[in-house]
Amino acid sequence: MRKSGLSDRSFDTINVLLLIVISLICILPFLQIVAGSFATQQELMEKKFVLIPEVYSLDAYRFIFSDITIPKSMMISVFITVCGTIINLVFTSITAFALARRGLRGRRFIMFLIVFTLLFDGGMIPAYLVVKELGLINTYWAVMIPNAISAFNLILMRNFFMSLPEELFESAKIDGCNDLKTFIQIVIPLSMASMATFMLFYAVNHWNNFMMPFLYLNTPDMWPVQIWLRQIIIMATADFGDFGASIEIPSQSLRMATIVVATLPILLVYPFIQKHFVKGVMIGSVKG
Amino acid sequence: MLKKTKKASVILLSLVLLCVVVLSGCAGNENGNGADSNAVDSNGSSATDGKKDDAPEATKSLEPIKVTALQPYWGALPDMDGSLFKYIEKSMNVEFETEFVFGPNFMDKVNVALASGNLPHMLYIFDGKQPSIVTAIRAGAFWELDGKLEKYPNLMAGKDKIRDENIKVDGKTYQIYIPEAISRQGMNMRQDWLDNLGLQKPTTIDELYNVLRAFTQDDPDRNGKNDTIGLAQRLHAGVPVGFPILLAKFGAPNGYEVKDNKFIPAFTTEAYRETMRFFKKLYDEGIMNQDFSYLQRTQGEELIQNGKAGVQISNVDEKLLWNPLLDSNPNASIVSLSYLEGPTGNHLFTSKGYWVTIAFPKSTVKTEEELDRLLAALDLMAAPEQKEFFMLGIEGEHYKKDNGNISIVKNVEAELVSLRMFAPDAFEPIAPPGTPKHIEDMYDVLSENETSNNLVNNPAASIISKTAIELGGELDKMIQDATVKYIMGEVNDQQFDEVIEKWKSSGGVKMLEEFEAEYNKK
Repeated sequence: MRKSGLSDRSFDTINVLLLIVISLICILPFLQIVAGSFATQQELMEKKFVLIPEVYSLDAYRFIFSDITIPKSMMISVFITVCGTIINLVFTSITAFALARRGLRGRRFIMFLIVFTLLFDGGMIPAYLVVKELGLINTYWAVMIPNAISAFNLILMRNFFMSLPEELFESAKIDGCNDLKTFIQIVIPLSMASMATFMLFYAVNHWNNFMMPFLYLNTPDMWPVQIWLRQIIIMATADFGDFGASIEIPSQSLRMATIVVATLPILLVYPFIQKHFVKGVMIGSVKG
Repeated sequence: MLKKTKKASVILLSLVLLCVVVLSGCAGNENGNGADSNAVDSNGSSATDGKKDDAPEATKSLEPIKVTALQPYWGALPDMDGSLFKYIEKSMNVEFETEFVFGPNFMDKVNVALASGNLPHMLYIFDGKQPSIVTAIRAGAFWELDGKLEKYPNLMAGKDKIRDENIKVDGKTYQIYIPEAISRQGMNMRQDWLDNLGLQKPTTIDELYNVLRAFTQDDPDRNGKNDTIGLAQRLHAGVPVGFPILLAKFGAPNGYEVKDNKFIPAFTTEAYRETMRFFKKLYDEGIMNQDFSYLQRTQGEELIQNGKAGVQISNVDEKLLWNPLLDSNPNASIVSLSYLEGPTGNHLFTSKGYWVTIAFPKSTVKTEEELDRLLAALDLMAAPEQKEFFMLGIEGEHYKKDNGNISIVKNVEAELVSLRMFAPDAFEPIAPPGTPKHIEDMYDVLSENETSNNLVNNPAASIISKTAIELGGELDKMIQDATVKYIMGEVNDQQFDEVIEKWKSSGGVKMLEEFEAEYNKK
């Protein structure tokens, strides 16, 4: 007994230590960025790694917010994220529900088409051509409509809907519900947890999206925050070759502050949805 | 029953309505933006309408033409409502609808534009010899400019034999270039350290070595600690940034050497080996930073800005590089040079000599008249009297002139960087008035390089070979890796020879043959 107690305890200790180390590895780089964004340029240049700045400075943030560009682009990001996520959720859930119902004819074929897109992707230029021909270039639709349904999320959601007992639908039908009413009054309330999860998936995707706004939005006034962020970061890392001579590289603290500003809002969404998270993802895969 | 379905449809309706409201919210915003650009359009057209009413025929030629452009920018996004941009539009009598794209991402956008046929009137291109551009040129997508530029004296003034040759595709010109220094090769070093040690600015490779060694071992900053190195290096294009510069000084060819109509690659020459040995010595003796092979640009530059390294061998005109050091250390001063005597003299490699190029797609610029109007507009911007604008901005707003004395009111150099793309004029490295001494020095070195009679051109620069397009990158990488490893002592002479053999058998010989065939056609 005692022996097993000891091995239990040592196992626990090792486990805890290991997890602490792993979580530190995950958290430290981010902490360094947050700390660095408050440090002075001088300190960052002398010490490579700063966790607690000796002198706090808000210069980097002052610089970011001295200009309307970043705050405005953040509002655009919020707008794209909110509208885009609503579109995603509406389209994904109604499609998933339809495909989960056994009565739908040609269900397998439609599923095949959807799974097919998971494996084969047209690529950047065909996608651009489609968006262009639809006349969506330089509109916010271009960043919200083309990826309205993620095939992967659709499959997860469909699995979840299929795990709902058939009897539920039958009794709803007996009580006089048609399909739509069943969906809205019974299925949606039951699936709030997984909806919250998918909402987070989609929202993070929209917030972090760089390539689509970059390709489809031509007016700088319309750019979301990620495009500006990437520019500030890339100026420091990329070799401009012959152009470097006259271009001022943003200071390290400014780069870090921009990362913080661009990441923080979406990070703040996590705590509110986190409680649904595990439940939401697991629920679809485990039947019964 | 009936009631219930009704209720369901009410819910359905309200859901649809919700969607509509949300989506129209998006649409509203979009329209807002759309309306803005429309407003510009309608203003423009209403203005021209007004003119038309006054004098229908006579002023027609004075109406600004509408021009779309796809342009890269660096640093700050040019303000299209700002006075600088407005000045350009007014001078050229053009209404620009320019799409500015951040430099590093620019070619992605160009390739998408080319593939989708969504082309502007003026397409700016980085490196006009890359495969997608050459394919488009050969498919006849752009206007040929030979015989068309001669009418425009200012555009012709900027032309130059080496640069012209470098931009030709199959012997013809399809692009106008915005020139830059023909060679930026050179070095900057700490004058105060030289003074501390009683040394002179080096003029030979041996003297350079002595300076570098002394900067490492003799405590040039007089702080009593052995904490400095001579040379700060990082990789650029696969090799240490200073490597091509010393390669030139050691007498190696620029890329290839043509002997009896045969192409000899630089890395097979003895001079290349000498240069590698020189760098290996610097590396072994700790005279250059040991971590050069994985440093990023800013990390490499910080060595200099911290006052840890005394010499930067790379592009001589990196003006902003030294600012942090000069700000924090009032004793620091720097000196620039490019003259260095090697075993066969003082050589300099040329680069392609242009910054970006402009091509005119046939699908958008429909007629030769339209092309002429565009060229005429660019010619206006390339005029000598515009030089002051591109250097200082607008008189009265950004600088003041008093009896020829120029005083800067507001420094707009950073904003002008990207706007210089509107001026395909001659390259003249003249420091703007009010420039600090060390930057004037850099400009002096640039103009010294410009007129040097020791310029070594790359004979392969104007040749397009199929193998070079397909395999060139891979083949280059093979040699670059071996070079870096040689410097770090991981590859010896014999192994380097093996890499050369491998280079030859993996497509190198084929590429050389293609070069020779093209070269001898001329």
